Amino acid sequence: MELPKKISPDYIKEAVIEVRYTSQTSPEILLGIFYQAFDDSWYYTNRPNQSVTPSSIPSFVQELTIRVGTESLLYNDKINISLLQNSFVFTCFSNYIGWEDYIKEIEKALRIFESTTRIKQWTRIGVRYISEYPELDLQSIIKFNFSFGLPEIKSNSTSFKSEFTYKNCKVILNLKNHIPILVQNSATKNGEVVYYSISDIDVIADNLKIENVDELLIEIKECHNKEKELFFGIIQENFLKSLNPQY
Amino acid sequence: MNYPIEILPNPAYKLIECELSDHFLIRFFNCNKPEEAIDENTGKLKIEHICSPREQIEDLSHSLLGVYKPEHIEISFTDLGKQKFLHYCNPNEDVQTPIFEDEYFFAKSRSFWCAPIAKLNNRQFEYSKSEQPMTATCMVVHTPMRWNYWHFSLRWKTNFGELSQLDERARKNVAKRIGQAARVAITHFAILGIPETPILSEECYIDNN
Amino acid sequence: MAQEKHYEDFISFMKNNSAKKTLAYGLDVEYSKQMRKGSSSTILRNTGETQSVIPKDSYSFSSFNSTRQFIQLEKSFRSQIDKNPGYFGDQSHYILQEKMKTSAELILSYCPENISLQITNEGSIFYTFTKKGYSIYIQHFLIDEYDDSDEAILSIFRGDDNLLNYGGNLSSVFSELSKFIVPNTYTVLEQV
Repeated sequence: MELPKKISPDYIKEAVIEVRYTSQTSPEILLGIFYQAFDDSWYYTNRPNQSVTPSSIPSFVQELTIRVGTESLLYNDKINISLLQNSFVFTCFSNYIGWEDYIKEIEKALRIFESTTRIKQWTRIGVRYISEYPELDLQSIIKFNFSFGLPEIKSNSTSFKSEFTYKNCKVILNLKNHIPILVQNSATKNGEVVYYSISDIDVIADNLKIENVDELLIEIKECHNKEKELFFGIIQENFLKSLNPQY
Repeated sequence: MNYPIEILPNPAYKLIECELSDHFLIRFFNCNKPEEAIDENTGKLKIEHICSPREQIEDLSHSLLGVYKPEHIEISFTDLGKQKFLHYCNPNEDVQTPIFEDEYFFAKSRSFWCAPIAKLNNRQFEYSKSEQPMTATCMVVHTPMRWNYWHFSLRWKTNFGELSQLDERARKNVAKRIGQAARVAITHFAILGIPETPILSEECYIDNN
Repeated sequence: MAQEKHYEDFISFMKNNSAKKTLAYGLDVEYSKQMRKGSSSTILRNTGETQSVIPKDSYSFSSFNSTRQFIQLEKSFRSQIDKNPGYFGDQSHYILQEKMKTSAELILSYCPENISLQITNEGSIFYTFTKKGYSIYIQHFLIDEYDDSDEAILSIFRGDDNLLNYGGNLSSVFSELSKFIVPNTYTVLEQV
């Protein structure tokens, strides 16, 4: 099956790429090394290390205070990178920028990380695309039919999750149909209910032992390809045509 | 280029004190592209376009949309023109028409927003649960100027009466709350574009005595 | 509000039964979970847990969106400070940024649908955000400390109705806000 290079509109809400690694340097030192390796076209920030005591909870119940770890972030005008312990999570700065531009930015960042010579091995890749379809029935988008022991019953909303193996990768597939969501109407400034359908495909290549970024990029692109195969494999033909696919 | 004399004060005019709840205020801001004045995330007017740092947000100048039209926002004054025309006056003042180029010109890179008077006039912001309780009330007041009879001011009054009677810290707190209330009121209710507005009855502004 | 009254009754009961504090922890967490879900009925529902309408944050993969919102707010703040250096006197940029991050993070804990940040010539940040039909405005003053903690002013609208105006320190402002919308305060950093 020929896979489109681009679709418009793409309905992509999130495109998350996670790469995990091992290192012999401790995380707090790695953070400083990574920070120094990135030039001024990147900005560093961190989310405050807050002890979160929900204000609705009275202070005498102190054990409800939960300490949330600091999240270290690097970003430029196209992508964000969360620097977690032994993991980098890439997301787009704003809307999805398209695979060609996205992988270019990810490659730049990965080569900078590699240049620090602190990454021993790349061990896992995750590619997760989440698409959101306002006011659309999932059954008009995806080849999906949900029924159970009472076929005369039509569900008002459906959530479906499946985990399976696809071409040596673990896949987590989440589908949600006709979920009522409360949002604000910008004209009336009041809340209103909008129905959303969601497809969430997470492709994971685990137990890797990759030692250089060239090989890592090949694997990331492979995972992305599998993501596309799954997505375009389950999508309805008519709906695909409406997305103006470019080959 | 002729000055729009219909916006000047006129010996036959009086102060507008009639009901204006169907009408709108209009105010210009310096921006070539009106769409850039709206925050893309919230869809609301950016506060930098409510009032510039040189102006006082607690006494904000507007015009009444109607006889004063959106194209009139381009009128801008030279230093000489400011000295002559940027003053409050009586509504029936006999004012000379400003002279083009010497006293006024047209500033092209301006846009505008409008706000419904009904949503602003007498709107109260009550800070009753605050550590320093107070009530701030917004008032839409007709304040004719020598260049523009249709000039209105958005002013605020509080339950504290004369602010000069308060100590410095209390005065600062009141000023902060008024500033916040003014920004919130306008951000929440302002609209870009020209709303439909009824024609103001002549009884409201022509003195028949 | 009915929810708040019910919660107050519950806490009052638990306060008077100190031996049940451990139970209170569990029940209170459950109650907060229900409140976050937007449930409008009693605590400890064992059935009907799927509420009729989901607030957008509970499905919208909030941790990714929250990070994006945080970065966009920080970038916006930096860029506005660079354009208007005089707005905050000679206060250090680093301190201003850290203060901004504090209030930004507090707001993001409510998973706002939309949020914007603008600085004012009064040395403050003016946040606008929307959530569940509310329009919320918070002005956080970064200079001019108020009793050793930052001052803030809150206004909440629903449609054209102004539901609340409140001025105090940052902590008390968010306490008031929590009476209208509940923060998703148990979001823990997703680890490997």
